Amino acid sequence: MSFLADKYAVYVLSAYGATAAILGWLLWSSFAASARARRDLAEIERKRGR
Amino acid sequence: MSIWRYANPAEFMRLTARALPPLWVAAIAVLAIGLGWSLFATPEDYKQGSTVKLLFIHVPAAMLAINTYAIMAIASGVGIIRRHHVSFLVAKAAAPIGAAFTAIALITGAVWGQPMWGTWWVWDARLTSVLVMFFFYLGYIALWETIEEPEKAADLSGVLCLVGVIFAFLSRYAVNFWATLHQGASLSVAEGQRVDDAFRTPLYLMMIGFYLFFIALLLVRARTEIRLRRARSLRLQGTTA
Repeated sequence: MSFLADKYAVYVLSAYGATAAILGWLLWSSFAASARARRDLAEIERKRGR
Repeated sequence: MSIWRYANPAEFMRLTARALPPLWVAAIAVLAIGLGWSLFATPEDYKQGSTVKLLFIHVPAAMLAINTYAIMAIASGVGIIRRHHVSFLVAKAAAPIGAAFTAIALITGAVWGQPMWGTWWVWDARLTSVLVMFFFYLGYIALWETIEEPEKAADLSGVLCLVGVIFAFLSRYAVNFWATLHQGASLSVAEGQRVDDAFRTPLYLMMIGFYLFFIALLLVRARTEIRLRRARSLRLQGTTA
């Protein structure tokens, strides 16, 4: 954790934090859309199968 | 056996369902090791101090920002010429990922530039090309969302994507054409070793991790697009029957 003592640590941490936030949002939105699409398709196929 | 059989949605779904679990495991493992190594096991640079650690996310993100656009352009070109729906859907699925990596490259670059250059931003050729490429990503996504008819949306957004290729090309090669504040390529076969081994090995690891993450996420999003398209076509069949 030595870099935390460096005067630029706040720059490093904020850049890594922003990256984590963007990638986290991307993952969450992708998996949420995937689950929604899977559910919708299953529902339509179930209705057609009736 | 032709590569075009993977353009069949059923074949694509079958193959990617098998590929995704090991891809995610590999991406998470490589990224975890790469992150730990980059943040806690690399020395500080004698000039840049700890800001050198931004290299490990900035370089892979910038590479992926440009390469994702190239992938989208190839997929759009194939879609327009050969009328393969999966090609268009792969391009559509890749766009938000490419936009996210471009945003990461711009943000981490600005955060590095402030202490090292004394400014968050300069209008130099490379930075400006990347910013314009980012706007092309946003325009491409917006065009897909705006046009209701999928065939028309695919064609028009595909053409827009091909127009923007020039900025992806400039994002990569602007440093060779003009004198820019942004330094030249950090990793170059032609120019020999320009990054010390202490930084190069974790950098390669992060690049591999970012690429594995990109492929896994692209497949998840492409599968979603195929399901949405199938649901739409079933819904239309239901209303016309």
